[in-house]
Amino acid sequence: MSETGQPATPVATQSPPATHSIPSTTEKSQGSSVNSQVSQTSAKSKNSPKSQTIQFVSFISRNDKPLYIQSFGLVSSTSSESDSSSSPSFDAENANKFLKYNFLSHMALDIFSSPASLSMREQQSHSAEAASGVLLLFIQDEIAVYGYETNNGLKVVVGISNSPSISESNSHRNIKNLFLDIQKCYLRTICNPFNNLGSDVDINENETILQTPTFDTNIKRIVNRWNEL
Amino acid sequence: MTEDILDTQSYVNNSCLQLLLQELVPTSIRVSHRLHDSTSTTGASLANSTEPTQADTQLSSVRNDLPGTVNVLESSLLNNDEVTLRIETYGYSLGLKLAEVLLYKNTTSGTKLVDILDIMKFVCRDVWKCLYNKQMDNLRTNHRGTFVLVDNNYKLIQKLNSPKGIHDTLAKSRVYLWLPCGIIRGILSSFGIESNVTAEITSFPAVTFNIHTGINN
Repeated sequence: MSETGQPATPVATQSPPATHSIPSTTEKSQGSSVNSQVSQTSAKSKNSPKSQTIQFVSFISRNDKPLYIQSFGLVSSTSSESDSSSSPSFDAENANKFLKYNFLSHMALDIFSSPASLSMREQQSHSAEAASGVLLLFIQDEIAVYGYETNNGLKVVVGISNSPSISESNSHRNIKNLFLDIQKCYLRTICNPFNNLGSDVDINENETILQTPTFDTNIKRIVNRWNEL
Repeated sequence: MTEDILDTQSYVNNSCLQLLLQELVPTSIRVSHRLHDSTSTTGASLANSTEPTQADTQLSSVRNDLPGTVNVLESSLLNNDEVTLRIETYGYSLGLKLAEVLLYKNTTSGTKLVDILDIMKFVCRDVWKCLYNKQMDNLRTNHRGTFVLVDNNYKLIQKLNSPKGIHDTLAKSRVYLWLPCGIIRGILSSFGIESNVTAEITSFPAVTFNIHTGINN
């Protein structure tokens, strides 16, 4: 290992395992720790500290009803095969994380409708900045929560760990593109002709319209692609 | 990533829309007839669904309703509530999805739509331009929730003509207007606004849409 690899290791082990700089959806074998060191060094050498990973994505309807939430970077068990008898501590940690993300999404709702953010969005729409519409809502527990509201009232909330040390327009544009991709994914699901969207018969159907495995995989694909950028 | 259709396509395909309309109304009438007949009499002997349809197969109980003819529009159920409701419901689901997609396209350009007047302007300008490549000609409001939209040359019906004369044309075109009524109602509903949309032909082919909402501004 090179010199720059050594100081990186203690930092990596101190932070919670879920926030490794690589998407931790793959199994944690011996090789992955080596990978993380290598990617840290390569990141440092390229001088582009894009060590952010998306922790969760959630959708909230215009009536402030939660529509969907998916979390990433949950801790997986150490064995490579899917192990149904994973230790209870892992499950508890996953459950805690999931609950935390739910809470963060609810907190985001308050900020969305607060007058401060409304005026901030007003300013953004006047200035022709590329990142209009996307707001950094708040930072809590090392997770930066961004929000975006469509014209229709749909709110998309994304939590990103390791808040960026730099806030140049480059990263803003990336986040805006991320929200646009997520919105496109949502549009595709809405336009599915097999969905009973908006039928007066079954109001409850509107709330579960996004709970499909295809939507899960699509969102996951967007997230992974953004994490690798 | 390859070109996304949501980013490139900006108009509704006119041929598709015309074909949809052509099929929508007769199918609704035939469905109503089928439901009607199965409840009242003891099942009229319509074509068995497993046999292939031939040129002389009766498609419904309307007289002379053969494939490729428009005799189905002579049906007495033409302006039946059930038929119009079905057509309007198709328009409603279309409108819901159309609103979402069009608003996605407008994120970069347009400002946010804050009140109902902005939404109506959005309908007149963007939606109509996307569907029929022209904008609505006139928008009036009484500022108490009622809007009147006027299209002086409505594309969907301007080519309709009946050999029996203008009255027949008017009577039959009226059915087709339920689709755009549903579209407008769907768009408003995607903003959370309940509304009631009707259309009338003032002087062919000019069409007036009356929209009643519960909003007071």
